Amino acid sequence: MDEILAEFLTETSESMTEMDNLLIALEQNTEDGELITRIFRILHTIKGTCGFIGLPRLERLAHRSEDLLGYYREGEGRAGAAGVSLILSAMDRIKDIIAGIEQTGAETEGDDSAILAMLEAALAGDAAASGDIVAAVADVALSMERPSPARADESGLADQSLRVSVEVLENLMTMVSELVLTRNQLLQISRQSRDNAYGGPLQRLNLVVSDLQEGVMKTRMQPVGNAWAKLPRIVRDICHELGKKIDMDMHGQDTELDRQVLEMIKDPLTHMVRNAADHGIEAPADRALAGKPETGKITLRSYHQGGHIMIEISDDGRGLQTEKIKQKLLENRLVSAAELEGLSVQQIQQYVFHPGFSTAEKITAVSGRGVGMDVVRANIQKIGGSIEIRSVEGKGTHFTIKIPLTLAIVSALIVGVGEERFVIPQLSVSELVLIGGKSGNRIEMVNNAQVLRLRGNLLPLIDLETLMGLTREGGEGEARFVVVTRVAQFMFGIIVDKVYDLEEIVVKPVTRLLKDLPLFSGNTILGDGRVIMILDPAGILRMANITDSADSSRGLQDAVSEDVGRGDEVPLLLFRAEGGGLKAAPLHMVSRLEKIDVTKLEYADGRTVIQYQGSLMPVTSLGALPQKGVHPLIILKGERQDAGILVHEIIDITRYCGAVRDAGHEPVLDSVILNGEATDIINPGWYTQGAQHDAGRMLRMAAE
Amino acid sequence: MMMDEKTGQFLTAYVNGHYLGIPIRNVQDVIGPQPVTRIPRSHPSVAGILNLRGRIVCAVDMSQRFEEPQPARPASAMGVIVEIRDELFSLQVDKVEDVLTIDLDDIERSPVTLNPVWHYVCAGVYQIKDKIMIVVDPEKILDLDMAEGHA
Repeated sequence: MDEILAEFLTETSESMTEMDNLLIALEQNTEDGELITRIFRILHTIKGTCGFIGLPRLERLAHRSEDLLGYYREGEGRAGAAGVSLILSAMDRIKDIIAGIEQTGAETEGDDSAILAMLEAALAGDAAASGDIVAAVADVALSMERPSPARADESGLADQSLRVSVEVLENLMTMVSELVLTRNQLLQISRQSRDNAYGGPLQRLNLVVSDLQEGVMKTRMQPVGNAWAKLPRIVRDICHELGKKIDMDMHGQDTELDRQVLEMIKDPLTHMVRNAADHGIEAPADRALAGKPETGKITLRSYHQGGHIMIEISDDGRGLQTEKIKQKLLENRLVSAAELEGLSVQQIQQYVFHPGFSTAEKITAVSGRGVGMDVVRANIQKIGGSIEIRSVEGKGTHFTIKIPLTLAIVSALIVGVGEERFVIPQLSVSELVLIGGKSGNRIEMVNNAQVLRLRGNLLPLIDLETLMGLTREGGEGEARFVVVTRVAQFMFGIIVDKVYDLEEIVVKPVTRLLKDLPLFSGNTILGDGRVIMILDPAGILRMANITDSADSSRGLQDAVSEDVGRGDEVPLLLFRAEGGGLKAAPLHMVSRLEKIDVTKLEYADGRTVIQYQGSLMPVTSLGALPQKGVHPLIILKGERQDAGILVHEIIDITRYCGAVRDAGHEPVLDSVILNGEATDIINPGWYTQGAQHDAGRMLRMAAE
Repeated sequence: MMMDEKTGQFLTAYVNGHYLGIPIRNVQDVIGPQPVTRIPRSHPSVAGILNLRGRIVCAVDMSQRFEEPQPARPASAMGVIVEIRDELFSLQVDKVEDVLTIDLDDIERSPVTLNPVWHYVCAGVYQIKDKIMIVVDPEKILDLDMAEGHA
């Protein structure tokens, strides 16, 4: 059934119930103006909606009844028992029609002329007729006994959904969150104690609470389409005003996410679509010139991906104009001419997220309202999300927004700083590095700024102890940790003394006395009952920027550029082949690492194979095949078939900065220097496409 | 207990030897000493946050609030839980004494010579035989940045 119609039915059946009560009250006291006014209002709403969605029969009835009530309301006539009965019969008829709509999805045929005539007669104020009305009403009431087929299964549809106030749901959510915390607490106690009598029931409680949590979360879920509903209209208006032609394509409207999250992304989304329509898509003439279809296209897509919701917004417009951005950057003195030289196109594009940046040549009525992409990004970051941009000049722009499913419960890392403990949302932590002690990693200084060498890059560090004015207990030599954190494009390290545990936490807002403190985004109660503050990486960055010298903020800026500029960096899996040679495989081609017993290898069709996940997979070794023992096996992803490489040992994952030559059909892609040793980067395609097999066969044939 | 508008009830407590009266309509609870999580870089008057039966409550160090820092909390230290604008706070005092019902007309204006911090926080004073009760306005106590020497 039509969504609007379903909504109407739900609403109407609610107001009809109220109407019944009002009418009964009116019968007791026919002179009550207040009651008449309320009934009048309900009828007025019903009439309006009927007209809007095209239900003529209902509309006419509601209209006439409303007229009559209006007449009584103005005090021109007195309702009297006859009047009230008349309206009651009209209401009954309305209910019958609604029941019919519910069953069939459309208005059923029927003759309302008798009751309409009576309503009109009463409206004419024909006092003489009032006696007749009473009689006639009785008639009509009798004749109406018949057309009530739907009575048996009372309004099916209207009862299926229920309106609950948001406040009730929020309360429920808070209580479930508390329950989750209490459960965590209990589980922790149970882990520590040896008495396992509670074990069983606690397990069940655990499951039930998890289900309950999921169930309550579900009540707060809304399809993302709700935030999109207004977008086609906005785009249409823009087209109208600017003389453009734009098609809007929406996929995955049903993807559900938390109400609260939905509210937060509504405005950014609207802004971005408006941007795409206004600045992205060119005028039809310009598009024709560029050899594109006159009608532009904006595509919205949404889907789930690993605990996150992805929303993509793309257009096939003019894309980001690098030259214009450059000009603007120079104009606004965001970068110097010399710096600009060194920036890649991708780095330049990132500047659209810079505060106060807008390249629109003219400000139109539809955009240029002072909110830029920086606000969009800030809003998305506020809910722990991220936004990325890809744009090709002349081809279009593509935004990918990644947002968490819910804000209520997040996974967080507990860290120790001095005597204090804090939590960091796991979402913003990209890795942990042990420093000092026996680890070999150490903090180095660049003009008073602490940095860490991380795989060839200098990572700027912020010492929480210094930032918070805390004192440390441990000596200088003691091991500490760097929490490598990412805030949008900024990568930086937060130095902490200890790392404890991961825990699911319920984020609670901080008291207003701490609202001005940027270091923290909230607080929570841990499983052991302790209250703890939640660190806000973005706030830490801000605080460090304010308190530190200009040099270090400069350093952060540079690190960002560096991070963005690592476009052609290749992650590699480093291994030693049988026979000792150092080799590497592009990590994106490696699907799994296994350990296999060599005796499990079999031979088929002249190939060495192994039974792997229900099928035969070819296995090769870059040296002589070992005859016994358990060896590591690298499984490479292939288009048609996976392939295994038996190696001596797996060493590490490393990154190679620079272009890797694509050798096409050779077994080795390139030879490069990694960690000071010559390393062959193997060509996975050669192994997976059976090239090696064919080559081997040819060799054999040649030998024969 | 029903009361006419003429009388009011006050929870009396000591902070640094000062005798305070906190309007009972704001008071939710009185709690004993609790572990308080300190918050770095927060206002000096913020003692930290504590867990009050599953709710996170911000604790305000009253002696700090009056700019009379104490080297150590007395063993009898207690928290007076007050609800201000839908939020709970714990006012950390040295000792809670009693509840007094007094005639509101007998509350006098605080003396003009009172220092600015006290002047901002005080709603008035009330004379008892051997001492003077300072009636505080909890809402103003939580207005941490006010009257810090520039009221």
